Amino acid sequence: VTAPVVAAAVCPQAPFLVAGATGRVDPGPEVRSAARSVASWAVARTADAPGRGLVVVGRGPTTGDLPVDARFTADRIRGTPEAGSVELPVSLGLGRQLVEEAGGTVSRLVSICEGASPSEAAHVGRTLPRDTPAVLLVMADGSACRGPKAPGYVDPRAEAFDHALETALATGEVSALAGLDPTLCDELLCQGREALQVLAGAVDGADVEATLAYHDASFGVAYMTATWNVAHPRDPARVR
Amino acid sequence: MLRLGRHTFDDTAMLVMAIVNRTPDSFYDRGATYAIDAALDRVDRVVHEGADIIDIGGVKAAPGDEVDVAEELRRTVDVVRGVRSTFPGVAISVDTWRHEVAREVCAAGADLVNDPWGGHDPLLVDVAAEFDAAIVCTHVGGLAPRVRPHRVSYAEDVVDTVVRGTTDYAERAASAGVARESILIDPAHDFGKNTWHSLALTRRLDEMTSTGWPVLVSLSNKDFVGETLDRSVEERLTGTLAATAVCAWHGARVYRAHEVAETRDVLDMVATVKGDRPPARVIRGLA
Repeated sequence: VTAPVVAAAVCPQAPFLVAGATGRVDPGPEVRSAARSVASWAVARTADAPGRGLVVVGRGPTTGDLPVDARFTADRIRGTPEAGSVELPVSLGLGRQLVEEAGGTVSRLVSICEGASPSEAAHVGRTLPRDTPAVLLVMADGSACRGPKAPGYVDPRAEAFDHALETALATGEVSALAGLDPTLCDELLCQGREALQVLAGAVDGADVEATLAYHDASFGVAYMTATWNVAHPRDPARVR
Repeated sequence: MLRLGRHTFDDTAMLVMAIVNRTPDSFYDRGATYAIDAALDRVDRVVHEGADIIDIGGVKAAPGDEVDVAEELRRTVDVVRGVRSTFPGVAISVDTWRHEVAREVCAAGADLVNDPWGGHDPLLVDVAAEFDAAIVCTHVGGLAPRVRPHRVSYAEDVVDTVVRGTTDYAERAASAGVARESILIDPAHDFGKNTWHSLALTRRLDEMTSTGWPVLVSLSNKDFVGETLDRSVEERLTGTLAATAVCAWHGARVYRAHEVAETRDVLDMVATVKGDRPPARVIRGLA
């Protein structure tokens, strides 16, 4: 009996969203609110049925599971990490923080190595252990080249790239995620490719009911949130 | 905790004390706020610029026309009452060395007696105690009020001398019944000091802050700044703010200043560098 991915949420992973990383005034309340909202959705979907686990997927220095209770603070973002301490990458640490803020618990933290090829990422997605039905929280952003003040300045390709990504998330077009080009993503400073391709591998062949909940390019970075309900062909809860 | 009369402040707060002179002849403002309406207008402005304390003065520090108790009261009491009624959230200080003046202004609502002359009037501490007001204990090396330093020198290290002098005064105030959380010490830059003295006290202000008494500094546009940079009175803001930053780094708690908004910015900047205040808005490199 398969116990597949039953839902997935895509969530921004900007470091300023980490607790303690910004100052007295939130520079991006809309992005924060969107991130919280999509994390809450994932927590709610996890609670919909007993036995579901919430799996955060994000890019990191290695590929594989990291301990769910691993240390994560804003110290590294602030340039003052505790000597010798090992912390979660921002993607996974932030994801866990958002889940816990929403009253949920993370069952796994899955890191996908920065620079992993599309096929490696898809493999990680396809081989996510399926001992329990899972809701994925996928930490990903689009380009960071959306204006003269953007981290990567203006790249004329960025807007179309982000629009295509938003369309894929809005329609559940798994093949578009699987086909994201690593070179172009690097050039556009898109830090979401690897995790999105894990998602593509995880839901490949399933039916997806997709909603793009939020998209914006504050600070020249493309942030987006999406919620996917996933039904597998042999699953009685199949959507079609 | 620091308590100034009715107002309390936590231990990392750095406070701006705005100077409001009801004098026709003070060195920097030269009578600009001598008229009561002008003084109250300035209070309004500095409160909006972030002043935590208003320091009302009726007698210029340097030598000049005699101002007796009655005239000093005429200049100060109305401003105290005006500030108390219009800005009840702001602490009120009166810059005076005379216990007769302190008594009337405390009765009118002053929270703090800012004695610029090192306890010259021994009864001042008793008035502060009687009204549960705070007191600033300065060091002026034994000079009488409104006397300029001339060939002043100290037998021992000036910083040691000032630490001893101010803490002795603080203990005397405590013995008289002033609450310990309401006693500040002030090295009194320029008062009884040459520029070298004031520079040493700035450089080593941590030796004052480490006594545990909260430290007030009064740096604003003073001669030690002017002499250091060779700047006239109206050209000393940058130097004042640099000295302010150094004192803030060393942990001074109260900054008596003419330019409130600029001082507030410096203190906020230093507090944030120290890690006592979060930045306003951080997004650079984190989007």
